[in-house]
Amino acid sequence: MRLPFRRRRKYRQIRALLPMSAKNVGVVVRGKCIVKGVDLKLRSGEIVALVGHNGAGKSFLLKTLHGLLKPTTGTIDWAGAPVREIWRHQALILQRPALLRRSVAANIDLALRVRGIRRLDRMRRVTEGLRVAKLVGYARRRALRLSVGEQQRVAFAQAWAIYPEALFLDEVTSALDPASKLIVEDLVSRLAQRGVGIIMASQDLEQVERLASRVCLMKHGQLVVDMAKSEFFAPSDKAEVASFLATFSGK
Amino acid sequence: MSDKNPFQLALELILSLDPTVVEITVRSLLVSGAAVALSAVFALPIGALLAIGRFPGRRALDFITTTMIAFPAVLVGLIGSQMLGYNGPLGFLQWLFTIQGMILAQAVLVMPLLIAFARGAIGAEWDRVGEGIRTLGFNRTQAVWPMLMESRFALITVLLAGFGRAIAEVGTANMIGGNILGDTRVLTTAIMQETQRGDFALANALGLILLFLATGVNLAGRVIVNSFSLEKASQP
Repeated sequence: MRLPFRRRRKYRQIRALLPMSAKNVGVVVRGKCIVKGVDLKLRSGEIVALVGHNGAGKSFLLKTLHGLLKPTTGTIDWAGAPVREIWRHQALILQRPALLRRSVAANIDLALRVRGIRRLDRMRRVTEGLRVAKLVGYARRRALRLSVGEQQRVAFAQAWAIYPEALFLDEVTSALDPASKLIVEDLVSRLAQRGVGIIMASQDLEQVERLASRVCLMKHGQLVVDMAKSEFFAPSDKAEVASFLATFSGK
Repeated sequence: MSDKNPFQLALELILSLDPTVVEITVRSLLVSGAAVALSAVFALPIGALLAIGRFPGRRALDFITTTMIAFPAVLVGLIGSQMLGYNGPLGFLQWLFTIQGMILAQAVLVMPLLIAFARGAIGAEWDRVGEGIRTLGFNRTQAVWPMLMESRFALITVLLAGFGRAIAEVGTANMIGGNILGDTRVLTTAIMQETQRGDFALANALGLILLFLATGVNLAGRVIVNSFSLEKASQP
C-alpha cells in the first residue's frame, strides 16, 4: 500500500538513524556488573532475538540501548545522529505494559504529544495505531480495564503511532494468551517489514525461530553468541549454543 | 436563663440557620479552602518532583517536609505575626488581622503535609508506571504533569487531609486573624471565644458544625479512596 506523502517523508527522515551500533557497552548497578562489553549492531528491518537465562542481563541491555539507562562503559551510535533526537524515533515495550489511568486513545496520544506532534496528525496516528493493533472500537475504553493481552496491544499501538525506527521488546508475549500472542507477533513482523529495526528479548524459542533474523545469546551479562537464526538452530559445535538449546529442550 | 441544655440550643441555632453561625461557617470554609488551594499550587508539583526527580538535596528536602508536618500551628502564627507585622518583611502588605493573612498562614501550615502526602501518593504511582512513562520519551521533569493527573484520586484525598488540618487549627487563625467579629472570626476561634465567655450554646453549635465538616471530609475521602481502589482492583 502506498503511504500518504507526509508519512513517507517521515519514514525517510527517521530511517537515517539506523544502523545502530553498540560498542563495548557495560552497565554497573550498585557496584555489580550487569552488562559487560556488549558489541551489537541493529540494521533497518532486522529482528534480533536476545535469548538467555533469567538474570543474563537482557532487560538491562535493552533498557541501555533504548536510553532508559546510561551505559557505564562503551558507546551507542545511531548513525551519527544527535543523542537528544534519538528518543523520538524509538520505543521500548516492557513485559508488563504500564498504561495510564485514561482512555486507550489518550494513552496512545500521550506518546505523540511528548514528541510535539500536531493535533490533527496525532488523531490520524492514533486511529492508525488502533487499527493495526486490532483495537478499533477500543478508543474510549479505560486502558486499565483491559486484559493484559489488550493492554500489550495498546502498547504496540503506541509504538506504531510514533513511527519508530528502532523497537526494543522485553519479553512482550510472555504473559499473553495464544490469540494475543499471534496478533503481537504479526505486528512485530509488520513493523520489521516497514523497516523498523527490532531487538526482542524472548524466552520462547519457537517464537524466536518464527520471527528473528539473527539470534544473540547472553550469559552472565555478556553477549557470547551473535549469529544468523539458521546457524543458531542448526546442529552447532558452539558449546554455549548447544548447552543453551539443550537446557530449553530438556536434554 | 433557658431550661434547654447547650446541645439543644446548639441544634436550634444550626437548624434555624442563625446568621452568626452561618457567617462564621462560610468564612471558615472559604479561608481553609483558599489556603489549601493556594498551598496545593506549590505543594503538589514539589511533592511530584520529590517523588520522581533526582536532584541534589532531594532526600534532605524530603526529610524536612516530613518533619514539618508536625510543626505547631502556634509557631506558624508566631512567625507569621512577626513577618506580617508592621515592621516585618511582609508588613507592607498590611495583611495582619485580615482574611488574606489567615489564608497565607494556613497555606504555609498545610504545605508540608500536602508535600509529604503528595510525594507518597505520586511515589506509589511512579513505582507502577514510572518506567513505562519514561519509555514513552518523558524525562523526569516532563513526567510531573502526567503523574499528577495519574494520581488525581489520591491527590484529592491529600487535599482533603490538608483541608481537615486547616479548618481544625486555631493557632494561626487566632494569632494572624485576631478573631475579629464579622471580619476574621472562624469556627475554631469562635469556639474558643464563646467557651471563654461561657456561651456554650453557640460554642457547641459551632463545635457540631466543625464535627460535621470533619465527618464530611472523612466521608468524601473514603468515597474517593474506594472508587480509586475499585479502579486499581480492575487492573490485571
